[in-house]
Amino acid sequence: MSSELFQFVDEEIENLMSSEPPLENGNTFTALLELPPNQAVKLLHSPEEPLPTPNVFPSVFSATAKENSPETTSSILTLPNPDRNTSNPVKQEPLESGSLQNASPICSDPITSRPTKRKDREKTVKSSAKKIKSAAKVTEGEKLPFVHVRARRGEATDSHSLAERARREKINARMKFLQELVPGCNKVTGTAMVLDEIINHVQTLQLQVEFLSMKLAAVHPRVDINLDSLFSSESGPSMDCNFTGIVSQSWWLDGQVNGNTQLTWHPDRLNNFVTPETSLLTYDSGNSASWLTSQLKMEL
Amino acid sequence: MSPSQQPTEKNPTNLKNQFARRFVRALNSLHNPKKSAHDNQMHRRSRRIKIAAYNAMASVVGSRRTWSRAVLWKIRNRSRTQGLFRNNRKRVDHQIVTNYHHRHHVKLSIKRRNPNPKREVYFDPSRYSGQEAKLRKLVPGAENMDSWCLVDEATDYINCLAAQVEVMKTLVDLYTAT
Repeated sequence: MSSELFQFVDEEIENLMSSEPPLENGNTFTALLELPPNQAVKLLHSPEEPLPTPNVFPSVFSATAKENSPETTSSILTLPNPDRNTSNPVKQEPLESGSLQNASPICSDPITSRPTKRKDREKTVKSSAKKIKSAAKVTEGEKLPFVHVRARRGEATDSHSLAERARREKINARMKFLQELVPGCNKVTGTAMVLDEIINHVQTLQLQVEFLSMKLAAVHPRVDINLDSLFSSESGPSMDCNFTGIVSQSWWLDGQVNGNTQLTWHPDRLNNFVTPETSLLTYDSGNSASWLTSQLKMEL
Repeated sequence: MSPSQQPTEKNPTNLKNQFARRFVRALNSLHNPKKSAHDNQMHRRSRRIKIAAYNAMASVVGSRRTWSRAVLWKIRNRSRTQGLFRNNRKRVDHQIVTNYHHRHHVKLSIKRRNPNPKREVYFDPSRYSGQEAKLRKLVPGAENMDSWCLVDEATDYINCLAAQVEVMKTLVDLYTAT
């Protein structure tokens, strides 16, 4: 995965090289990308020094790249930028933890928006980004290689804010999804309140797990139903609905034994199923049903 | 299950069924071989059941998610030090173990390869204080993630937790009803 990542970075470098931007003395990541590879190697090894005039190191970059790709990727990405914004190191850190979906916004962010101090530099960055830009504009793309953000009318066109806006939009999209997931979160507005609700919900769920485990500990030894054999004896098309099938089945048996009407209650709780129930009931006909009832009678 | 169902609808029930299967197996193995006289204390039993539940959930999800890997790692570390939960080790899927060790080593090596100490990420205020920090503490394995990953993991974690709670509720009702 890191080799794929590195090839991707390599392609990006070549792309940017083709547009021939002016060289600069800064040691930023876009400077790195827009340099010819030989300069990039120099930067890698001496990150704090200003760039000399271009020396010729043919294909050194690719050679060192192929040797030790994880190391070089990490060193490329962990180039110190002491005077630059700190959001980028934060994004670069989890790069190694492996998913390409993280990698793509990270790699595109330096391309689309790296801080530069000169105005013409900004223009070249934006123009190069626009040159490379494809037609698709991605707001929540996880697997697309580029996140192209176009500045909307009335908004700042600073490269900083473009990246920030892209990042914020992504996060807000996910927060909306979370809002739907967490009950009672739709009315609340603002990120802080939503986060509060989410935290509350997670804590509630964890408390519920603990409470239910206590209840199970109290109840379980008393009724020693060996559902394991039930699970293992089931086979065929109804494997997917095992749990629901078996629970309903035991409730059906319970209904037989006790004569109560719990069967009406559980279809609300259990999802999908009408057909597997009948198939299960027909399947186990004699064996497990009688066994289960005998177990119940023994234990109670 | 009808074949016309969409995959998104299949996922929660699949999750529940797989979790239920593993959890029930864990419960049975918790109670059958050892006599109930072994732990008469409720809190010890309930703690074991809780750990079994989290273990089952995390092993259903497997190595796909960071939180599940973190949960499995914590439990196995704990079992290694305490030596109590021998049953859980047997149930380890071989593929998950190899996957898991690989990713775990990658995680460790990332942490060791410390970034430049001049970085200001250590003092990034939004990460180490406020509500995001609380969320990081709640979701296992999300300490050093950035905001987007954190939110992503949180959604998945909440999904799985909700499924777990529902399955446990029905189990409790099943047991108390009989």
